[in-house]
Amino acid sequence: MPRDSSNPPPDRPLSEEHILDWVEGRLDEASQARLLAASGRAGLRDRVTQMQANRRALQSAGVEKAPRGLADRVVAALEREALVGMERSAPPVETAPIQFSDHVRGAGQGRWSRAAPGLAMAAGLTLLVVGGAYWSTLLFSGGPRQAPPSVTGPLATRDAATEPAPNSVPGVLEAPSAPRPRPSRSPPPNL
Amino acid sequence: VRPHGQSSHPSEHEDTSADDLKIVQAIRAGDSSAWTRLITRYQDRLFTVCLRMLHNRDLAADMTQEAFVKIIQGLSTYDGRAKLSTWMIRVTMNVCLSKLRSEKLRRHASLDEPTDGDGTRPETSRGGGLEQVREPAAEARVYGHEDRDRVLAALRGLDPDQRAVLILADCHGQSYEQIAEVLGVAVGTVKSRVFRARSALREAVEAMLKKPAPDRAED
Repeated sequence: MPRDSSNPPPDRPLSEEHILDWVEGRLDEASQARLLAASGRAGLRDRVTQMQANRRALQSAGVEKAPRGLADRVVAALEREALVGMERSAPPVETAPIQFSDHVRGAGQGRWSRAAPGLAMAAGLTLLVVGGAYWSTLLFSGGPRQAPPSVTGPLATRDAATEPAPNSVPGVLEAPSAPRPRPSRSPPPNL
Repeated sequence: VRPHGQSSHPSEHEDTSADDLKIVQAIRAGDSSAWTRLITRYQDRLFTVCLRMLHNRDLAADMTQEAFVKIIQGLSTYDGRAKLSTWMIRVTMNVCLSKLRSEKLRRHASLDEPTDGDGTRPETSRGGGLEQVREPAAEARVYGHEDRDRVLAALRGLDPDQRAVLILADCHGQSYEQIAEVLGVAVGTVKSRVFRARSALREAVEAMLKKPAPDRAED
């Protein structure tokens, strides 16, 4: 039903609002005639009629059906957002790995890690002392236990007193400090 | 004649504030099962808003999802002054307008493009497949699906702000006051936009009628 309050008085100029009232059916015939006369535009009625037709077309478009599964997608997105929100709002002590490693180290490994430098220095000193003692023993214990080899070594195995070397020239090739012959290697003279 | 602002959709009449309030309270209390009730209740309406604005079913589904996430996450800010449906449409429309502005989709909107994807394809749209004979006089024009598709296609060529007011006013039957609340502008601004949008839509439809038919045969 057209509303009288929307109908413009005859002396008022044409306005957008009045045309909207006309398009949307709130203007009676007399007011429409007044508007047409005031506008002086011949095509106004046709334009209004076309607008009314377009409006009816849009009204007839209705509501489209949402795609299947949209609700599930929305719920999944909300749950995802909730999880992300929980991670963002969680205190850093719960998520920082360094906190966990500090906790573990403090419980069992801190004592050893604090003593490690001292232990390493003690071990190093011990190795130094032992090594020094060993080498000093070697150096100052009177030299090697075996005599150094000499050019007369092979001849020394013979008993110089009883068994002169063949082709030996007395006083020339005789070793001045030949070792004593070992009894085990040379049989006793009387046997 | 139905005064402007009264709904032409049965779903608008089914919108009971008491049920909405129960759902809102359940969600605020942490009942996640109420999410599904809210979504099921409003998904078609919000999807239609997105579809009319974006003219692409996949994109409209994505934006509907994004709108629902914002709605449910921001439900604590809903103060109850407006109807829940109005508030939800406001959020949804803002999501669509932001999308259009960020990606400048309106540059790609062309009146020459086929209407596939906007839900107005002849094989899927309501109203049957019978083409209506167009009469020379506009008064005698009977609106079948072809005319509706043409108007919806012409709607794609409008400025997003003009498109928004026509969708809210005509497709969703909202009053100027509700539209002003949804868009966050004055009622006078809404009326001015609606008038300009109606004029622009009329010109766009007329331009399409003057074009040869072959490209329309794809619809």
